Amino acid sequence: MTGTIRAELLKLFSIRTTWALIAASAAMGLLVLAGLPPPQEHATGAALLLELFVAASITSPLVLALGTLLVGGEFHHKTISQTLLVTPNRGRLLVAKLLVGAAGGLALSTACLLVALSVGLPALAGRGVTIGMLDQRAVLGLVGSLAANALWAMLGVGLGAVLRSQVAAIVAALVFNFAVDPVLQGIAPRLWRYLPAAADQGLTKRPFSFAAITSMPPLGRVASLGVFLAWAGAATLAAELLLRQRDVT
Amino acid sequence: MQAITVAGLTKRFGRTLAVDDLSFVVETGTITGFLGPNGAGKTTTIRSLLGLITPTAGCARILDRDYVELPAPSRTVGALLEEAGAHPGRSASAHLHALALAGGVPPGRVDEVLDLVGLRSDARRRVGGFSTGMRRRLGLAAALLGQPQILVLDEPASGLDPEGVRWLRQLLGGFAEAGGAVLVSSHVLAEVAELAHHVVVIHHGRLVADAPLPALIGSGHELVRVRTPAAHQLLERLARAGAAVTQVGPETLEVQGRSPAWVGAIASSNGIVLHELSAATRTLEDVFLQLTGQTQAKEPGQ
Repeated sequence: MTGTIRAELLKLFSIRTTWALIAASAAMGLLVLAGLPPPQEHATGAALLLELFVAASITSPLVLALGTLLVGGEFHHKTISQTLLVTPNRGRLLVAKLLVGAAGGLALSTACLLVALSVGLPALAGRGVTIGMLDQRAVLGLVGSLAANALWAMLGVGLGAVLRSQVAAIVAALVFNFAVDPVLQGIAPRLWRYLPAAADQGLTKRPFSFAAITSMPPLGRVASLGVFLAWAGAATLAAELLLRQRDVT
Repeated sequence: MQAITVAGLTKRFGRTLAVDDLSFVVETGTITGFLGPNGAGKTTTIRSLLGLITPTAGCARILDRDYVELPAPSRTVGALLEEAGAHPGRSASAHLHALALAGGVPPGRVDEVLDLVGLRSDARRRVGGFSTGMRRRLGLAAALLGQPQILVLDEPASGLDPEGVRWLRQLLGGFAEAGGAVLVSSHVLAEVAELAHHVVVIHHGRLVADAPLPALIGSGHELVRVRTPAAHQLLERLARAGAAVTQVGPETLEVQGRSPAWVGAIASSNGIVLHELSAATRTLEDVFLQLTGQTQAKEPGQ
């Protein structure tokens, strides 16, 4: 298993697309700063950090795209046969892909946060705002953000494996999040709270998401995590069943 | 010992029967040519053998196990499939290192196989910039990476230049001499004729020949071509005298395992006029066309 994971990590980081996504995430770090409201007089460093951490989860579309590459890309570039020759156990391959997808999601979040912090902290210091110890809310914000990105990546892995195409997976995700999600939000807000974008919002507690405006607040953090895990799990299960059954021709 | 066993293998894709009750074995220390026209079912058979396709019935096994059950697949079987199997954006070296990691092969083998296939100086280049021949060599490097006992190669010579084909022939010859087993598919008969010990021919997914190469071709002058207006009569006489005769044309017969003198004597003693009597060497191509042609001719009557 370790060998399979290490191989998948090497594969992920030895193509330019991954580095382009990391660079794009880093650039999003600047967007995060630009999008933050100006700090109020009494704002504490920890509160500002929380806003920053929460905002950093906007990399999720990129993370989802990265996830779809992991299996969808194997079909797109016709490398899946070679991959299955060295790792014929398809379940094991999928687990390795999920873990590596989560790691890739964290790498993108980290790139975004590092840029945001390295530019944002000196700017705050210049205004006399000092960053003390992280408070519990800031830590939760950070963890929520990172967890959401890891789960988006896993969802992407599952989607790529089910659709066997990175392009189809990305298109499906975009259509779902930008067309299906807002419609459901309007007509069935209670149901909407159980969709991935709402779970993402509930988990990160960020004011903006794939789903933009809503009158219905998302579920709590823990419930959202559960909903998100269920989605990622369902995608994984579907991927596992289909990968196991399908012929690779 | 049997390295590869295909038994009653049948694979159906929707309404298409790609492989139909196919059985053959590949012994260790031999090179088996796996022949058939494009679309005969060679690739489906090979993919079933490698666990990529689930057979509808029957099985294709390696060392008496399904591929997915092999404890160290890439150290047991080296396989080359039709596509390169490498991401175009990845370097040859990274591609092989990833395969080594996943297959439990020491990383030092990567440079060894790159040397072996002559790609060492291109190791850091991206595969997308490789020529077809270079991709083939990279595929062979991947197949040889785990120092396997068995090689399963789907059309390995396609895209290789003549020098590359010679190199491949030497490589596979050495591999079989060292006790390895090779199953090599091709639709180019000349490649296999110079390489294989044994030949399996399939057509429309069905086995049409499974024999040692010399037996299939008929060795040297043991094949006699005879042309006569009384072909039917001569065929009957020759068959009665115990010869293996095939009618290959309206006036042409081929007699196996007998000398031209023997055939001439039979004709003469029966008063049959001959227009041609010659010792012929059948090429694998002749055999192949005959075998696949026969199967095709049978088709409409089924």
